[in-house]
Amino acid sequence: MESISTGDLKAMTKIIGAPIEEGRLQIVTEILKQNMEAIQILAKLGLPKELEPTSYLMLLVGRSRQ
Amino acid sequence: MKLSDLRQLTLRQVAAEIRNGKTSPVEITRLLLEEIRRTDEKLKAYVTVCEQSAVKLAEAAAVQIKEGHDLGVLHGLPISVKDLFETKGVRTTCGSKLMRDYVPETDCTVVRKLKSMGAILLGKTNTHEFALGGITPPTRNPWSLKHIPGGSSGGSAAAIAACSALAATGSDTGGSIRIPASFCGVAGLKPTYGRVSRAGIFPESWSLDHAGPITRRVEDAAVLLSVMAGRDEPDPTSSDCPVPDFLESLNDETSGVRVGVPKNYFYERCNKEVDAAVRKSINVLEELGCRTVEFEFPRIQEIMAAYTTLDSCEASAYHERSIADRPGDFQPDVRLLLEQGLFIPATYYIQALRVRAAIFRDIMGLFKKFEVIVTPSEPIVAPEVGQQSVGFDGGEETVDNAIVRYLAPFNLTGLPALSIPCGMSSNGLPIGMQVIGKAFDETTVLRVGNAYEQATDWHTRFPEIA
Repeated sequence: MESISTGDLKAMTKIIGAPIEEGRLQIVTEILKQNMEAIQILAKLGLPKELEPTSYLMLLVGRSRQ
Repeated sequence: MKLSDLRQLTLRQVAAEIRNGKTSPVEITRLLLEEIRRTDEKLKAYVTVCEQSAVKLAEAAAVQIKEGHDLGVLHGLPISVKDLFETKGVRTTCGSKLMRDYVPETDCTVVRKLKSMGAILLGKTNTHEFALGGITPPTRNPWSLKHIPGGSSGGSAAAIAACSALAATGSDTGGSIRIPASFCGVAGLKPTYGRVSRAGIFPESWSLDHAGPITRRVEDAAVLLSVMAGRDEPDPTSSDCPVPDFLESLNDETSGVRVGVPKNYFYERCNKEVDAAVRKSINVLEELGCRTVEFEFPRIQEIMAAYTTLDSCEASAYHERSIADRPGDFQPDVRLLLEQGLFIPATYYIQALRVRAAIFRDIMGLFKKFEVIVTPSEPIVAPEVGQQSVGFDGGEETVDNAIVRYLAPFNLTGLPALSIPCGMSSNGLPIGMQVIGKAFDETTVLRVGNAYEQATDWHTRFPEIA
């Protein structure tokens, strides 16, 4: 994954309308970089198509009825 | 009755003593209020103490019980409630400047249910701001005032350990019941997702939040859960799974129960004393007739990535307006967490939801080989106030990371998980063991935890707060 810069974060704040003060861009960028590295694996998963966003809750409901 | 007597009794035993005339709701309430007065300036477990109303309600309860209007075990017993749970007419601050003057007009469902069984609100216990952390400043650990109680339900756990609470509630999104339970040496149960209504409890992360009891004894957790659990229309995620009698089989034999012990992850980067204490505890379970089954815990990296993503995105979404309007009113650590969560792409969130189903399916498949899993609750004992990192062989880790990693997998999968004390470190701090069960099988989790508790004496040890 490419590294995120404060410039990138500033551009993103405009796109998504996130209310981050100029003086905080550095610190938020640092923590976001760390977290994005930690969760990168999610972008590389080859999950079967039948696994949907709501599947977990449906499985849990199924268990509750057993 | 003296406090030293009270703290040795279960809730059912206290209830029996009331009905035998050996004590009264008023005496119990006054003992706890006195202990709060004596210790809370140092401990800071409570945000609000409902002194006058608690005594009044205790007086009323005593009359009701005497006249035969007996609502059961909790009737006349004071309960301490995490300050994330709405309480009618009593301010609910969520540990935040943003909520310091908020007084709810209604009770949350959990508090309403407890009150309907005659429980009395003793006070509101401190929480890490909006439950978004595991430290709970400024509350201190009763075992050592230089150490943190853990969090976010730190106030509840500290008060239980200090015996300035009889029973308490907590919430758990990434360990917030079990972290402080472990660090304070008390019992803390995160039930199955949906087992307990979250209506009227401020969310940290909707799909990871669970409400549950924090108590001195496993039996007391079962008593509270029996009242707290059940389908609730105002919370559509609350389950209609029938609520069993959690006390019925609590003292049944554990002979033949298969205990899954993970070969990977859960005993890695673990303090040596913690590892030794938990392994010794597993031996105790074996002596009680349990059989251990080693297994490989699946998809660990994916679990933590999915948990982090869901927690960050949902918390940031909830607080998005407040972050825009009043950013400076958040604690610095919470503000940073919420700001960075605004930038995580939606596709990561969707993938986190999808992999969550895969993980749940895999783990439920593993539960064909055993009835419960046992791990350490924490890889460490309570850190010192202000401590930022902990060291393990081969490196350092932030406290924030260390305290969630053995616990968050069971928020992601929604499985019931109980933390109970299983040892003390050489510097006098409690060590916790985690017992995890199948979805909606709190009965077995409580039974195994109770059997362990009865075979040991960790639950009879109390800190002395000078």
